[in-house]
Amino acid sequence: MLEEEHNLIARSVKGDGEAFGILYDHYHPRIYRFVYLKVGRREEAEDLAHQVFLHAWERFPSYTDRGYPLGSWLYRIARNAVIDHYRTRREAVPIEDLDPELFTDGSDIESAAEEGLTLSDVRAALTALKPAHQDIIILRFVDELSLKEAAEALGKSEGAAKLLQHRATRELKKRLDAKSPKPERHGRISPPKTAE
Amino acid sequence: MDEFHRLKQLNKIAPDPEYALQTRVRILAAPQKMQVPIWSTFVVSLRSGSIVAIAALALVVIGGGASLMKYLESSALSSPTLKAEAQAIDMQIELTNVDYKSLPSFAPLSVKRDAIASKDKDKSDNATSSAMNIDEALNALTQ
Repeated sequence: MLEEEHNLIARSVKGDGEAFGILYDHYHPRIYRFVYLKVGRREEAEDLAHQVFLHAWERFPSYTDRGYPLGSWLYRIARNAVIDHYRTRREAVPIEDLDPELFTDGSDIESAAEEGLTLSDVRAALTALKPAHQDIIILRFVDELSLKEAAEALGKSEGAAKLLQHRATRELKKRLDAKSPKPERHGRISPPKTAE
Repeated sequence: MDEFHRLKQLNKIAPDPEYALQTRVRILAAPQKMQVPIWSTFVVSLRSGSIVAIAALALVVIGGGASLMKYLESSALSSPTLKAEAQAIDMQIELTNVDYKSLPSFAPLSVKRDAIASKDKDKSDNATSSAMNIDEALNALTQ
């Protein structure tokens, strides 16, 4: 949660653009990331993130601060935006759409490619999960929200969110284990390499 | 590599800074909407509509009542006036003598018919003669 967030929210409700701008700067990368991991395409993620914040800004006068972080409300808007997006698009999302250039950490090409492949596997496994499982995994492990914040964002109780998280991580682990190369075991013959 | 570590690495995904700045400017330039609940809109419209209807009804009642009062108060419908008008009507009913003697009560129908026919003939003769007199008068005028 952002420092002095309640003060910024109070000012934004009254139409203070500067206060909302600070909130935007803090939450925009998270919402963008959340949407991107669900839709898989940068352009669509940018459009949807824009829609989320536009919706939030337009309806901020009617926002009621109930003590939860603003992010919970924004994630909810983002989830609904993605649902509406899928309802209109109905397209299969390509798994190989992860752009290595997004990782602007200065790594060399080789390690970036390796990371990209690994992250591509994770991304693919994440995409294959049910939407509710995707949501809890992204909120808890990618954006590192607390269980309480994630539950609020999903509109569930903490207990339900915890159970959902448990099932989601189990499913994700199963899919990642299926993708990762298995180590050689006793008596097991690995397939021969093809001659060049 | 632990899957949770891999998931955390997804945290590196970030939007294009230039795009983020552009969308920020566009969003803050948009006007905010004051949301009014639908039910309150319905209540307001109902209230305003009912006020208009009640006002129109009141106008009709008041206007109609006033004109009715005026009408009732006018001399045309006051009871003394009506009495005077009734008395002023000169109704003179005259019963002409009925000649029962000319026709016997037990005379056969054919006799009665003949009597009636002769009376009708007299009338038509008179009409013809009067018509001819009129014709002569008109001829005289044209000459």
